[in-house]
Amino acid sequence: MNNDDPTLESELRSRFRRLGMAIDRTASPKRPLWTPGSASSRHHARATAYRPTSGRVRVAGSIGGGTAIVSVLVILFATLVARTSPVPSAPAALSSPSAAAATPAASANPVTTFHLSAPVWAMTFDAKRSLLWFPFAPSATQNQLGALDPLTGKLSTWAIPVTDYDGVTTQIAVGDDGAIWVAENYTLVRLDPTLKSVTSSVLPYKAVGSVPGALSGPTEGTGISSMTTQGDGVIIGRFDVGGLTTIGPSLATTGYVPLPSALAGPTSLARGSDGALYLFSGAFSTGVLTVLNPDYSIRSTAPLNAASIRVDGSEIVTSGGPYSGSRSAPGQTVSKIQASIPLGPYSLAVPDPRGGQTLYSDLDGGLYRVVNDVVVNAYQLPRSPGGHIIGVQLATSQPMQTVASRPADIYTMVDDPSGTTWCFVMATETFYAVVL
Amino acid sequence: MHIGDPTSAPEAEEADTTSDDAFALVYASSWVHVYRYAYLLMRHRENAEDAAAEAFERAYSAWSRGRRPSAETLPWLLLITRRVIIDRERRSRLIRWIPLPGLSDPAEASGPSLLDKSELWLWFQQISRVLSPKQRDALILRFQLDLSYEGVGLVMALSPANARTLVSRALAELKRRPESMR
Repeated sequence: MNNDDPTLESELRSRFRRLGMAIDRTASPKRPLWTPGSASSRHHARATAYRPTSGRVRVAGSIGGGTAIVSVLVILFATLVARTSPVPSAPAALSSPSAAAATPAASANPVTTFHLSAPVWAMTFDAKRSLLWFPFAPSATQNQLGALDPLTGKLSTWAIPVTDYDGVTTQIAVGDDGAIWVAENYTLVRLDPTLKSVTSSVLPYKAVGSVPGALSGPTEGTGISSMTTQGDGVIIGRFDVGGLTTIGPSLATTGYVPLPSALAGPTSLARGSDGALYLFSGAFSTGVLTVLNPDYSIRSTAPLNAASIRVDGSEIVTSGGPYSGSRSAPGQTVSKIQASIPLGPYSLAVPDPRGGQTLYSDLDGGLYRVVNDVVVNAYQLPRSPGGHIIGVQLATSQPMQTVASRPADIYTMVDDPSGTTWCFVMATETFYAVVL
Repeated sequence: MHIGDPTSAPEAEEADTTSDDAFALVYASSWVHVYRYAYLLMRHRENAEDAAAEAFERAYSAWSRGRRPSAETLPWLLLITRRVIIDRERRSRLIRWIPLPGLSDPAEASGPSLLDKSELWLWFQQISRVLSPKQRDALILRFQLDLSYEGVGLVMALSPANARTLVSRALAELKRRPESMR
C-alpha cells in the first residue's frame, strides 16, 4: 500500500512544525529537564541510582540502631564482574558463581547493612539455602542475579540477560525444586536448582488473550506483570492479557488459563496454603482480589483497596495506601490497622513468620512490626540525604537544591524465616536487615 | 513508640565530569525535541516536564555507563521518553486516586491555555481522534521530529518497513477524512 502524498506530507510537516513552535511559545517547560547529578523525585532516584561508582559491597553492623560501622569490606565489582561468564545466549553451564567473602557482622546486632552499587527492585528469601536473591545491574552491559549469604556476607552472582527496562515490573521467585526465576518485562530467566546454569526466554509481544488496546495506546505492551511458582515452573500474568500462562522448567509454555478481561494484568500472584491461587488486579479503589481453585475455577472475587498483596496461609496482607499492613480473609471487609502510622501509596507489608506482619511506611520511612493491630516494635530507616541539585533557576542561573532529607525509599521487602526484615533503600543502595 | 536512631548513609559518588560534558551537549541539542514529543503524547505541561526529565536522567545514566546509541542520538532519546511515558501511564493507574493538592499548575487549572485555544492544537486534537494512537505517534515522529523511517521504527519497536506502512496508513486515513485537515 502506498498512500504517500507529497502535498499532504508537506502540509503535515508544516503544521507539525508550527505546532512545535506553538508549544515552545506557550507551554515550554518551566524548569530545566536535566542537570548533572540531578535527582528530584522518587522516580528520578532510580535513574540516578545507576550513577558510576567503583562498585563495592560493604557490610556493616550497627549496635542498637546506632551509627557505628563495625566492619567494612570493599570488594571491587570489576573483579567480580570479570570472573562472571557473559550472558549466555543458550543454556550454558557456569563453572562456578563469582563470589567474594565478606566479614560477618561482629555481633548479633539488630541492624546489619550491605551496600551494593546498583538498585534492587525485587528480592526473595530462599529459606532452604538461607540466601537472599535479587536481580541487579552492576553496569550498563551486565545484568546479574545476586545471592547474598546473610551470615557470611558472601555475594555470589550469575550473569543474566541484559534488559533495558529495569524496575517496577521485576519479579523474582524460588521454585519448589530450588530453581530461581526472574521476570522482567518480556524476559524470563531461570537459574537451575544446582545453581550452575542460567537459561532465559523472551516472550512474544503479541500474546494469546490480549485485550483490545493491548498493542496500542498509552499503556501498550504485554510484559510480565506478576509471577509465582507452580511446581517446578511458574505461572505468570501479563499486562493487558486476560489470562495466566504456565511455564515449565524448560521455559516452554505449558498452558494458558483464560480469565475475564477485567482481570487482565494482575500485579500480584500468590499461592495460598490450600493450593488456591490469589490474583490481584487493578489498584486501590479499582483493586480486585480473585481467588482461583487449584483447577483454576474462580472461587471468589471481591474488591480490595491495595496496590499489591502477599498471602500468608489463606489470609491477605495488603500493601499500598491506607489499608497497608491489614490482614484479612478473601472477601472480608478490610479495615485499617489501629496504629497511627502514616501510609502512602508506596507503603509495603509482608507477613512475619513469627506472627503478624512487618510494615514499611513510605511517608515516614519507618519499619513496624504489627501484631494484632498493635505495633510491637519499630525502626526508623535513615532518611535519604537532601541537598541534591535538582535544576537551575532560569532567571538567575543559580542551582536549585533540595534542602530537606526525605524518608528512605524502598520498593522491595521480605521477612526471612527468623523474622529478620530485609529491605533495600534506593537512595543509598543499601540492604538493611533489621530484627524487629 | 520510640524509633531507633538512624545509621549513617553511605556517601554519594561523584559523577564523571567528561561524561557530563558530552551529555550536556546532547541535552542542549535535543531537549526541545524530547519535550515537544512528551508534550504531544501527554498533552500536559507538568507531566511532559516530568517525563522528559526522567527520560534525560535515564539516558544520562545509560550514557555515563557506556550504553550510548550507535547512530543518531535523538531516536534513542525518544525511545527512552516513550518508555517513560508508558511506564508512567501504568503507574498513574496506581496513584490516580490520591489527591494531589497544590501540585497542579494554577495557570492550567484556571482554564484552557493559549495553546489549548489555538487552531493548531484544535487540529492536532482533531487528527488524534481520527487516527489510532500508534498512527498519531508515527506522524509526530515522522513530521514533527523529522525522523527517518528507521528512526520511527526504532522508537516504536517496528521495522523500518512497518514504520513506513504505519505512516502510510495514517496518511490514507487523513485523506479518507479530509475534514480532519481543515
